[in-house]
Amino acid sequence: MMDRRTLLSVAPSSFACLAHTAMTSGSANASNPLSPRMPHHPPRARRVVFLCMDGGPSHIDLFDPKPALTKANGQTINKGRLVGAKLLGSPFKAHKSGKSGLEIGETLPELARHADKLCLMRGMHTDQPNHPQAFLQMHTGLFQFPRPSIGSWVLYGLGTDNANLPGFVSIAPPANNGGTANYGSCFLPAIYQGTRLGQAGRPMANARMANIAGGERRADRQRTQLDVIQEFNRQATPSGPADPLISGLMDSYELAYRMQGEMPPLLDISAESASTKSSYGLDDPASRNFAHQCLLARRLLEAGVRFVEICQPGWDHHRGIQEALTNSCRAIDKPMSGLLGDLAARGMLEDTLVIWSGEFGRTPTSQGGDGRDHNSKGYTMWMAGGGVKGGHVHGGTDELGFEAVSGRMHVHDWHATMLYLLGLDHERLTYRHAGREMRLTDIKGQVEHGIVA
Amino acid sequence: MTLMHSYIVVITFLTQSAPDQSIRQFETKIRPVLVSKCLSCHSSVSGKMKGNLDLATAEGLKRGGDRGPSVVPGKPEESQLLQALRYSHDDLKMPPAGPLAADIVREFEVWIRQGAIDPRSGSPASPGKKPAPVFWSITPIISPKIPVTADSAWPQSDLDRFVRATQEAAGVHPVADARPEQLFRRLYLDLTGLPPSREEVVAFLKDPSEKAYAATVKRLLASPHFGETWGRHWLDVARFGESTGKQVNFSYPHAWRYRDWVVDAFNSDMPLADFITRQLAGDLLPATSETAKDANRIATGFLAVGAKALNERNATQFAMDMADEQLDATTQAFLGLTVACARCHDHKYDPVSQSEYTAMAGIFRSTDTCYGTIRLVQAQHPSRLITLSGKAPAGREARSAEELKTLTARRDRLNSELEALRSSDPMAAFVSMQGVRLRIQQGMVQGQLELYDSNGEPKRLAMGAKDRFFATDVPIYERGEVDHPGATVPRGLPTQLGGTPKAVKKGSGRLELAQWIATHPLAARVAVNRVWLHLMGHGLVPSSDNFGLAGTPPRDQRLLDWLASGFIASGGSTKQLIQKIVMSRTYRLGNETHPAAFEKDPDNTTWWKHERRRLDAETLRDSLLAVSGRLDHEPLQGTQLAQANEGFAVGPQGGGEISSTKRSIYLPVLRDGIPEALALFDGADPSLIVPERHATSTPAQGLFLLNNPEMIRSAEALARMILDKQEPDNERMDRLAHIIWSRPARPAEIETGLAFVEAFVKKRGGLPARARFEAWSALAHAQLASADFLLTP
Repeated sequence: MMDRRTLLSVAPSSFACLAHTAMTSGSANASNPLSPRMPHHPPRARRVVFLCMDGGPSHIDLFDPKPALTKANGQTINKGRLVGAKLLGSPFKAHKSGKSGLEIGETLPELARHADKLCLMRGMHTDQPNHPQAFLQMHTGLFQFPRPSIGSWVLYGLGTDNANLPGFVSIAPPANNGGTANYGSCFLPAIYQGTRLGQAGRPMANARMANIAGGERRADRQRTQLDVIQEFNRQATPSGPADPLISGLMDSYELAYRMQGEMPPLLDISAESASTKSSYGLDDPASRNFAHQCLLARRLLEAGVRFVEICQPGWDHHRGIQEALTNSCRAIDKPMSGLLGDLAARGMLEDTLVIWSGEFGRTPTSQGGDGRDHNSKGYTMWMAGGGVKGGHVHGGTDELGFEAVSGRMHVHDWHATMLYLLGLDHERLTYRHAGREMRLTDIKGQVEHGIVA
Repeated sequence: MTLMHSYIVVITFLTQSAPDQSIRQFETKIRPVLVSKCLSCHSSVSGKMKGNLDLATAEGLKRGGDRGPSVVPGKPEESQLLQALRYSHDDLKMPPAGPLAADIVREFEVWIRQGAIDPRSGSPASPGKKPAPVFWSITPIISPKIPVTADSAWPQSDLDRFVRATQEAAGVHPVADARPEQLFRRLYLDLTGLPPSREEVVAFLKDPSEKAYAATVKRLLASPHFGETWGRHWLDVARFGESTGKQVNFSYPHAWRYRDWVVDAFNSDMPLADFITRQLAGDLLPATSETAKDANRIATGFLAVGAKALNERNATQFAMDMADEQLDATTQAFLGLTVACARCHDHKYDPVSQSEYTAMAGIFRSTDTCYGTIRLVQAQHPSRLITLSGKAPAGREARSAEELKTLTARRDRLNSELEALRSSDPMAAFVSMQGVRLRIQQGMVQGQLELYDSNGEPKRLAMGAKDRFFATDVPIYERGEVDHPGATVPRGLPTQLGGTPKAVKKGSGRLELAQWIATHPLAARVAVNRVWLHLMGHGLVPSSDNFGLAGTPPRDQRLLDWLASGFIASGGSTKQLIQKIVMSRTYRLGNETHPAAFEKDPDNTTWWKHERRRLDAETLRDSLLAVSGRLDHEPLQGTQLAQANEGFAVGPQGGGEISSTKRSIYLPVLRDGIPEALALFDGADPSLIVPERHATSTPAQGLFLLNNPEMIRSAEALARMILDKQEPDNERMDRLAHIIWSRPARPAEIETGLAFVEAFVKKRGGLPARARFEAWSALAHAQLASADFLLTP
């Protein structure tokens, strides 16, 4: 029997080949490289929404409160490169929330209502305290070499439930920090690359998908035109066994045409009820943009998109963290809460993996008196939904929040765990490139079973 | 990669033999654990061999250390290694940091039970002394005898005799020859990346003789568009990019000179040996004129145009990464080997040890790589550039004295503002928004100023390489980590990879490396295979990116070696090689599928028909512009890089739209920002070495072809073109077919097309002239979106 790796090892352009195999074996499914595929083991989650916080949010002020730090506020310490640095206690309180009593910073009151759904991973660490490296590593596993993004790997491993839609959508990604590489397919075939919607820093309300025909007049004519294209294609097909190249081309047109029909209504959030919109915080100018992204994410996931990433910039709080963090939180708090609530109400949360993370955390020491610097040695991310423990804390940093000391999870470990929850074995999800079998986790990564429900 | 290859991949795995599986098991399950968990303390390579145990080699692993054998093949329970991993004995628990996951330990158990197959070579404590296995790709090239075929009628050339002999062995018959119009279009697309004009098609179809075909081959090989197309193939391999990529994408405003050098090299049919030595060591070669000297130095741009992490804080790391990148590009591009794997450990498949890697890395560390860039926020590693003679083209407009004055004044003003900020609040100058903004503005202005001399004349600058004043040897870095240096290794060439390595006595050793590569049998084999791949759809060696042990053996080594020895005998002439192939009957086969042949050889491994392919991204875009009369055929001097100064490489997000109508090779190649029209159709990622492109078929491509403004502009231009001519509609349709498909329209197509136009006009109504224009645009658009335009014939 052909195992999945073998099936997936199909290199570039072998879609045509697969298409051909499918035609001869009579199975319609395999003709589309995006068709749903059997995972390695029973999955706990079927889809992912990744809330990416660009800039490195402070774990200390949000999810990993440090009473010892508050006590030591203003004291000078010498630690590594931080010589003569002053400790900065959090200007915020943290409240025990939910039945689980998870401690969550006061700037996220709406999210705190969902505390029992969250699994806080407080022992996260990554390799470098620089935005570009850490951001890229979060998205591709490595910053040293070009690699496919997490969404591309997931799509490659699982296919999509709705072939009429792109399987991996990245909403408002930043142009810097690696740019397109953060949602690119790199050496995986282009069909697995992320489809970008909108741009960082631009209003979501204007976001469109590239190359979707505008205007009804055109759309109306297009079918007739497409029929002519397909007629020419049929006439170009020589007699004898079907030419997989031509049938592949014809299929891609039909898919494109259906996608064109499905995407615009999906991107139009006006049909959502006023109460839904309000639950996401769409009526508040402070949270409108991220709310739009979250709502779009839910609509896409519901329609069968496998992996949706949304991105909120502005977490690089070197100065004035009290005001800046408050503002940043206001932009995301209601939308996140709306998304979690909405997913739960629709029964989707149990098999949707919700991930929230920045590329790293921030230092317990102050910068310029009221800000914090980058910290790659310890930070918090959270996950909720599909297969993770709710109301749970995994791991922790030292008493000041410098470094992960227990339940340590590197980005590779998170990637391995994310794939595990999706039913994929990170060591078996491979693709042959430049003479070896490549993995999202390179040669590293360990599944953290402690967070699995 | 091709259809064939993927089939082969599938088949290989289905029928994988037992030893292969064991090796795979070792490579995927066992070795990574040894490398990451054991070798830091138990390795002859890392220098630490606790308990005298060397787990870095197969022999060392079996021999064991002070406690005796670590592994007893077939007997997990008697193997100390497994006991240690299981933590079952109090005095033997490994790794010391904590037990490994149970499933990993189980993998070891299974592996030992199945015989503990360990494919690694090398003797313990003396790595690299064992003779390497002789692998086909590094053996000397010997021209094989021309085979005699039972079918003497079909072959028209010796090449055909090789192909026919293989077909006969497989019991397969070739299909009929391609029709003249198919062949003509195929030849144009393959040799020049552009379709023939309508007039050229008409003329050839009037006289499709052997003589006319041969003359066309000669003419196209001499066309300046030949170099633009074949140069682009090389730029894929040379990972050519006009910005640093990685974390802070800075532009390379002078990279275009290397691009143009590559185009010229193909147009002038530069011998392979020169092509190689100039790119690796052109600066060290004698030159007869200023212009030749300039060209040789520009050629070394190959070493400079790779991606770089300018915000790397550790200088040694940056230098080692750059040397590694250069070594990787050099060995992959010229030899088809992935030597860079040996940066962190002895190569898993190929006979390259970590110390040989380090010896080669020393050559690049002794090289001064000149790539420019400026020191700015997050960019820490500016370098010099190479100053060319005054005869080199400028590539940019001169600046007036007035402009220079304004720029200088602006820089001075920013300098003083920054100075003022520094003296009042040094911290703010560093971290505040204002400080960062000032420093960026100042840097960008300075970056512009550096491109001109005091008269406003553009400086003639190029990227490239030269030898450092002092050559440096490099230590072996344990696991490739720069904070774990071991013993220093003298610079040198690998000894087990074949060829004739020379000792490096003085200088960097780059010239010796270049000469070793240029005369290595792999260089010719790899080059020939790529030419075959581009003309025939898949390589004689299916793994065109890997000629090592992990690659796939050639389909027909006799043919490969026959071509390679002919190639060498011709002095490494790419044009003669191409001519030999396109003049063969094999190249001129039709593309129809023959049921009997398909039955026996569905993957066309014996080339019984011509393999159709989707046009590559550049050919597609260039053809689109060409058929609609919008292509600007003139080369571009310089670059259109959005920010053609030093500093941040600014590009539209996600690639965006293209404003130029020049050929695609002249479009800016921004890392992580290549234009959508190219990225969507599998254009090469400039951060990767791409000997063979993907050829995917995706709905996003479908959407582009249906809706992108470029498609619509081309269709409308075509409609205007044909409506301008007074002729009956069926002749119009035929004219369109000649232009777009390079052939007459078939009656059925004319019928389909005209029915569409009629229905369209009727449905649209309104002004008849406008309706007709829209109808013909839509029809032309449909033709552009059809298989006969998008696929090679």
